[in-house]
Amino acid sequence: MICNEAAEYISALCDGETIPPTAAEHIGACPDCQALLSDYLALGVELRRTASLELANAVPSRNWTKPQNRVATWWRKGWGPMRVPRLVFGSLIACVVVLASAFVVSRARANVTGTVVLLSTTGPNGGLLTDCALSTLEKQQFPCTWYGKVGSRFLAYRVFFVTRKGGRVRLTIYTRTYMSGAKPVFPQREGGFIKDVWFEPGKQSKLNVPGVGTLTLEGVWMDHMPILGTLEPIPNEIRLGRPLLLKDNVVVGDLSHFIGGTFGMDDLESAFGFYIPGQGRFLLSLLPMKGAVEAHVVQGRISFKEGGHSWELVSGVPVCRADHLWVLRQPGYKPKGWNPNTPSCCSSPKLVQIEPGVWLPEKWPK
Amino acid sequence: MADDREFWKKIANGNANAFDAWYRDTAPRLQIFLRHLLANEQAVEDVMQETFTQIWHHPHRFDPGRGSPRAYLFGVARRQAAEWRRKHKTADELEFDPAAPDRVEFASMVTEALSRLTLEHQTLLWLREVEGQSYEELAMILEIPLGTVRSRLFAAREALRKLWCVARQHSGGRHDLQ
Repeated sequence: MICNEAAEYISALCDGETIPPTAAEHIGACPDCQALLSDYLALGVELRRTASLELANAVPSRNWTKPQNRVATWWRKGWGPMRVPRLVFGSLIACVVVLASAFVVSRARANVTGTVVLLSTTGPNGGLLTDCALSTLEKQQFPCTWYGKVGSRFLAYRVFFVTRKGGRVRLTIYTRTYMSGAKPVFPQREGGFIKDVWFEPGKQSKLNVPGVGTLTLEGVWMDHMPILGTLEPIPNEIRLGRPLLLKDNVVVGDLSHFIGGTFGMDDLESAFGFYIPGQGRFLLSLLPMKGAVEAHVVQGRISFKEGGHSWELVSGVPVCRADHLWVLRQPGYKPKGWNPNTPSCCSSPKLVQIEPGVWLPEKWPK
Repeated sequence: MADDREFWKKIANGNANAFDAWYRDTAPRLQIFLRHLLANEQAVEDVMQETFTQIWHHPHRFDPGRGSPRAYLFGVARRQAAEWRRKHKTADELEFDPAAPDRVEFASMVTEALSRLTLEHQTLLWLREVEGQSYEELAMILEIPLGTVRSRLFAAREALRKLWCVARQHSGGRHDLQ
């Protein structure tokens, strides 16, 4: 050890601290360190000596009173010499309070509390299509999205929050219908049926969708983003919520813009697919796939090793009921039809059994 | 520590006698501390007044779990002193002006050198050497991480030692320490 390294330990000794043996040994044998120790001790002694001299100075006396409570003073002044019988006065106050409360309740009903709209959409036959929550504070939030069969057609439905005015919100609603269960292309600004509506939570709104019928929108205000659905996955479900992909403890993919809430698939014979630029496509399945690695699942975390790296997919909700699943990675995958520099989710390629206990996405070379 | 808490309960309940007793016990030492930080008698009086008034009016701001009432007192005083220095000085170190009105006269070369250190170094050294505050209390008073107290104290001691050595050389051989 050299003196520069020991100097801080010399200072620590002056504070009653113990120091490492190597420092103690050096300080004991080094004349320069001994001199520094003497200086530090002397400085401390001198500070205490001068403080002792100055302690003789007196401090001024003070009077400690709490600040006057003006309201209490006025109350005492008014209550004492009151001429109106105090019972009558008390009744008058009570009446004023009751009447004022009634006005406050009325105003509270008209006014809005909360920053989140929980929107429920029901179909023409009254069946619930989807519940979803829209924040009035978050500009870049994921819209409400639903796809399913309504009557004889399939409906792709998407709701965006636009703006808020008092107790009402402006929504842009996109719908598109399909004759069969084709893969939906969620309607954007072109194609499909687009409608801007002013919607007030607490009141019903009707939306007529050509080819489907009338949808009913209802909603309530909430003061937080609710957790919709159940936390526990259903049988055979793989579910993700705002997932992050980590590679060797570094975040390499963020799918929270795709899955702002939760998204799950419960078809055992379909894989759950997503794509991360620079990392490839990942297929998750509860069935063992050829070429896949086995991943360990603990609630919202999927851990696996692949390509010489440690991976973790961290989800905001429990992923599945099993404690393991299989992950098939296609590092060289290039998406078709959209920008390869943006992540995407959530494809569901069908799996076929190529031999007992082994599955593969259909159309893949065996 | 248990006595301190019981005593502080009285103060928190607005017991003026208890607070006055605490003031008489702690004010002399606080006054010396502030004299070395501020080097201005009027400023010392103002900051003392502000510190004790603030604590008297808001005793519930003190959390007994975080340290002693004395450490809390020095912490409040340090912040008030820093605020005063911020308003009245642009540099962190006081300029040496022997002709300045209300300037404190220091008893020794060491305390003169102390007055030229930064506010943090002055506070660390005084509270450690004179008031005997522990590392934990120093961290609370100065609102710094506990793990940095030792190294900051070393820096403060070394800064004081260098100033003191220079002062000794300029004094033409006069030594305060024998």
